[in-house]
Amino acid sequence: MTLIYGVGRNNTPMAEPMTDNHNRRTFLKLAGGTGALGLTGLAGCAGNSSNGGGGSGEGGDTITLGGSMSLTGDNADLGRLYKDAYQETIDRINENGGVEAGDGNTYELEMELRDDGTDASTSRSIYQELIDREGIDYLLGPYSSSVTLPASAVAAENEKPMVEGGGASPEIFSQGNEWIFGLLPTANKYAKSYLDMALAQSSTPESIAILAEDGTFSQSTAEGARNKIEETDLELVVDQTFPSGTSDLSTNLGRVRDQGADMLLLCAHQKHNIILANQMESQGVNVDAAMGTVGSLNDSFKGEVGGNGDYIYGPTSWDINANFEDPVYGGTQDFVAAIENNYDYTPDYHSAAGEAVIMTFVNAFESVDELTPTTVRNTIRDSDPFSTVYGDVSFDDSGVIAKNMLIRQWQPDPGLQTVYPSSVAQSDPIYPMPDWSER
Amino acid sequence: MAIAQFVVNGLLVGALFAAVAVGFALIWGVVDIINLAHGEMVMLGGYTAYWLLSIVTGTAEGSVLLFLATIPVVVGVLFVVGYALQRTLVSRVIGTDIFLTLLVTFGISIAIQQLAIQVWTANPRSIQVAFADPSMNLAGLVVPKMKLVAFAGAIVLTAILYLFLQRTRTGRAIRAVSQNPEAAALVGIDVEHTRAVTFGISSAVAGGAGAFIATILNIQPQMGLIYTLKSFVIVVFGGVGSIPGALTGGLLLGAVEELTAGLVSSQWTLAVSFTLLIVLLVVKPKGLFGTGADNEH
Repeated sequence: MTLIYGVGRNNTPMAEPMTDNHNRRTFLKLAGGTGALGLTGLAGCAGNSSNGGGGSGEGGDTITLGGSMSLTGDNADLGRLYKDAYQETIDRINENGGVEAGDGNTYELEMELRDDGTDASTSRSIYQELIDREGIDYLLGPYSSSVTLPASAVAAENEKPMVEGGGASPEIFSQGNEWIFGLLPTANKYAKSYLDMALAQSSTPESIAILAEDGTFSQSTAEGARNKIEETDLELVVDQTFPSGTSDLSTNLGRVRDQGADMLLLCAHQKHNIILANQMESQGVNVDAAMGTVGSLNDSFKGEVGGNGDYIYGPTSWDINANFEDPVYGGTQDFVAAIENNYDYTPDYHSAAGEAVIMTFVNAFESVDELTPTTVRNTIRDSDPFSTVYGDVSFDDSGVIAKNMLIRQWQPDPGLQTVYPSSVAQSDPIYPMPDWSER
Repeated sequence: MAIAQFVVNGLLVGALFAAVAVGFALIWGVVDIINLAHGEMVMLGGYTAYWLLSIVTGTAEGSVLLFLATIPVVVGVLFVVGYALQRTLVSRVIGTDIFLTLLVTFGISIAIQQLAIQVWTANPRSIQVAFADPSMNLAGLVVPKMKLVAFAGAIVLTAILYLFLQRTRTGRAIRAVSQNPEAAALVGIDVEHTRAVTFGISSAVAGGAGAFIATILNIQPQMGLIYTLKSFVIVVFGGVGSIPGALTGGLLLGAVEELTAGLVSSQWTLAVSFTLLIVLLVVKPKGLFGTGADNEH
């Protein structure tokens, strides 16, 4: 076991070296066991070290990153991608000796990730508990905008920096909250590249249909699409919102078919993408292009819908074929290989954003002179772009990463291909997509 | 024409709602509990069919005949699940406070959900049934073939249940227990066994409906609650204890939901359904066909 200097809760190095096991909890247990006098003296020591409520959680030589995640519930399949990316990255950092922070100390990272069941109020309670009971100062954001928005308010109320890779609603970043940083382009940009791609084709579409789930993120995506459509000659022929709980889109898809829309945009998560792909076939809905905003690029989506998923588009903030330098993995392809080898699936942009969440904190820890929530927050905000497997990371004044979405398409032969913009495209888009009768 | 299309869409899924609800109504009438885990039987039926097809074909895809061949197995498996649940857990709270029965069945539903998540993950899944041409056009109305098969399947399941209750010795025993358990026991009917059979049959029919749902919508571990809620609405529509009432209630609910989605917005479907429920409870508390929860059968 490495002998490294312990720190108190404000991360001030303590006078004596301390092993990993001597964290604050065992420290207090020992104090209790050795009697009141010892307790007084030692607790006094611990009490002094906790002055200021620093950033290391319970551990003396560790920094604990805490958060909630959708480990069960509707978005559990996506929540798992973040959890695995977080864990893999933290394990690697610790295996490499930990984080050499700007305050001169070396810290191991620890993660306290709790299941919020994809429920916003549960998530909010978890964050409050992590801050109040566990003394955690650095927060990993949850998944989905609906959950992230209230969670980010807890971060602001308690003045703890939260870095998230799973909430993309502009609402999260329009509250004047200076403690939240997002690694996904905001939802209002999700459809922009899809529309640009279609309008760049030789046979341009004339009409579009929007079907949007009633959640925060999906509504923001739809609103961004509507704004973009207003700038074009496209006619919005169907604009319907459906409840998240619905499992039948046939009536709405019937509208799309009857109105003869050229393009279809589904602003929703994976469950509805599966329904869309299957019911487009069964309802005989033929459009030139169809895109689902979240979950349509996952292997599990394609696995469930089979051939019905061919030609469907999806946006991504990350291209799996890129190779950005990264201080932990070496490069993007090493990260992809690590996830594939250790977790048996191919990572997507959620995974890469998860890695960048951890690296955003690590970059800040390495840069600050003193480890406190405020200095870390300021460093994240003012940091120059730094490279991760996700690409270059830096944040604008509202806390959002500056990044445009790429468009990928399921193609029958090569499979998933990046098709837009042309500068990074692996293939041309198959546009228009063939009618069901021709497949 | 659009309205006709909405009504057709509604009737097609409404038959499935009805097949789920008849079992819910049967348990309510015979065992005298509101089974909050009924939706989980739908979910388990869907997954049973999904995994059976996956084992056979490797991909949960197959012909309609192959899929239909899984239905008897699904029905059998879910009968055993329902029978065992009644014998081991539900029987312990029959005749106790209604809140205790609600708590037990709610607990069962949560336990099954969580087990399903652990075993199968939360990923939504669906069964792909191959058709050369997946939909047909009838007088300008688009009718997906699999939805038509599911509609027919749901009607057949409901009809078999109805005939079973009317024509078989066990069916008569079930009706006897629902009318007067003490008198039924006096004439030699094993009341506990009959109640467990009722639970098993109800679960089996719900599971069969779940298998069809897996082909036209999708299945996931937390899908059960909405089917339990719909069953509740349908039973109130149709009247407790009336299978024709449940069938009519299911078709009515499907049509109302799709008409609301089509003419107003999908966001209003639940609000309209439950408003209708409240209105019916006030205007016709015994439902359209039933004799009321206090005097069922």
